[in-house]
Amino acid sequence: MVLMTTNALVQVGLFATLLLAAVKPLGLFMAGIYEGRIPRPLRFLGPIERAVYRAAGIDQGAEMIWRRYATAILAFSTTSVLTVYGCQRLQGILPLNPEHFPAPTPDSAFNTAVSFATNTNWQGYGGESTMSYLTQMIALTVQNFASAAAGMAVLAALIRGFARRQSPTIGNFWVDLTRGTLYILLPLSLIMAVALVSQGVIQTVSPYREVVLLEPAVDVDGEPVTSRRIAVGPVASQVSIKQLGTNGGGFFNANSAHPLENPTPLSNLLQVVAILLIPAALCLSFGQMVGDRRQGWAILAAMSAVFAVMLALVLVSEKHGNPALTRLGVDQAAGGNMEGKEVRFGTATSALWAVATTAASCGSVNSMHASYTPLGGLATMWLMQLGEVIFGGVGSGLCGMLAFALVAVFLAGLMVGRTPEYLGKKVGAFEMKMAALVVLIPSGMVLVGTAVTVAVPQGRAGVFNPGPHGFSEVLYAFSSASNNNGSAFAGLKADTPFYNGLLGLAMLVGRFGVLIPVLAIAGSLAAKKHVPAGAGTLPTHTPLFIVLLVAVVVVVGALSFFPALALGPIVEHLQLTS
Amino acid sequence: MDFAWLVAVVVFFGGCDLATRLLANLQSED
Repeated sequence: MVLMTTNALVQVGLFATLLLAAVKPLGLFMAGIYEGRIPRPLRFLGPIERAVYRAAGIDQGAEMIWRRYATAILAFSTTSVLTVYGCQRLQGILPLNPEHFPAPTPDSAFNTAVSFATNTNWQGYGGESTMSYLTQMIALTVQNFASAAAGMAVLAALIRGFARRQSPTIGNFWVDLTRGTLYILLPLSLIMAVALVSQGVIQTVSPYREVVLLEPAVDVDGEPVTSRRIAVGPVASQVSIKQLGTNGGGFFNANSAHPLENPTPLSNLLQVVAILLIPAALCLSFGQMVGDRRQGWAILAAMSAVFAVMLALVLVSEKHGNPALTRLGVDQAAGGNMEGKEVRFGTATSALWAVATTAASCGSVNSMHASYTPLGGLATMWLMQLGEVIFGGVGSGLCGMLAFALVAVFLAGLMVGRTPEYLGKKVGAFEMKMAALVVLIPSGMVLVGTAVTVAVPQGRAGVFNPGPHGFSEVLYAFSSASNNNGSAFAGLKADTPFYNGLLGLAMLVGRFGVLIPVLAIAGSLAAKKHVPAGAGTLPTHTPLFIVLLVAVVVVVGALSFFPALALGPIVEHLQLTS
Repeated sequence: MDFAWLVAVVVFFGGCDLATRLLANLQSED
């Protein structure tokens, strides 16, 4: 059997070419925005930026110490959660609800509010059967922008921590939030939305359409069915930012497997590139802002190396097919494991998307991950469990990777008996403690959440597949929530008070358990003086450092999750192949 | 029921703010 078809190679090649071509210009552009250099074509937005500051009483010249920066993001996130919660619970009496959807239950509203405010976009509801247009646009889509811009703001603050010398401050959260939204996310989303509309992604606020079937059918009760109600809505605007902001929450329940959300091969390619576009480009922004672009390329190379290995694993696993189906006589020689995948996309395009969406903390899907082969499912799960640092969420992913870089230079320092340094800053005990929190908090939340869920009846009640696959569903859910991904192994009944509450807590802990220590690192590093590189300094732009960084990420991820993975996808793989 | 979830949100973020203060103290001690 040929495991890598020409189609797969062309798809991956197109994807990689487009992404790499965009990384440098976009990275330098974003660096300029966070350094206050607004490009001439976007300066017409300046009056809007200044109007926002005036209306909100923000002094854009006022710099913040890290604790104030953290307090600002906490205040902003609290307001975001409460607003999204309120919008959902009041949607029954608010306008733009042509289908007259009632309010979701309080626990579901809590879960969704937390989910969108933390850039997770875990969806315990079916969008087209639950949310009004107003809720989709004012609550959910707005949070797609705001939560993404907040993550990017924290990254900008961390980079300033590396770049500044003996500075007590790391920037202004409100300015970073506004500029990230106004100059980066909004223009990119507008371009993307127009491109998607050109491909047939719908954008309307008209009521759902009743269409007459060309070929009448019969329902399960034997009654004739002559018409069908088609859900429509403002889809393109949500899809563009759901990919660019690594949010992932679809307008429709089927997400980007839905033909009105992802209708053509070109819309599919644009969307999968958009998932990794900003996280990859931010590596170059980092290099530019710290004054050494090689540092950004090195981080990007480390991310890409892990990505490529995991992509190869999923491509080969899915192309190889499902052994259980082979035993039933299903011919998988041509298509591979097609269960849960769109025929129009096939295994290669689906696998590429699955790896991209779990490497980045996007979570949008064009195929159903629960139906992947156990090894394919393991790869998607593990990419999240690595802490969403292989590209990861916009801003938050690179923050996590830079925490791993601190751990890597610390280990290298221990090996050669020198004080560790990174980018001219001595890494002390405080930075190491904070980096340890960044690495350990999401991992701990995944394992504790999974353990609690499989130990209590309310948790086990949601598992429909007994055995290792059921365990994988729970492990995937907490890996996704705690690392703010949002995708799911379908089959788990998660819209219950127990799951809504515990997964909501996992999202909050995973988000702020990382962002607050990252800001502490930023503040601590910014206050330090610059140390010139000496003979004992480990260069951090070389292949040696890239290998060391990859090794640290992979070893930490393997040690943390191998026992749990052994209970789920690994034992399922052994069962299927034995 | 709404009240309980809203209180949970406020308590979580209040706890985060407290954690931020504790980390700031840890930083000054180090």
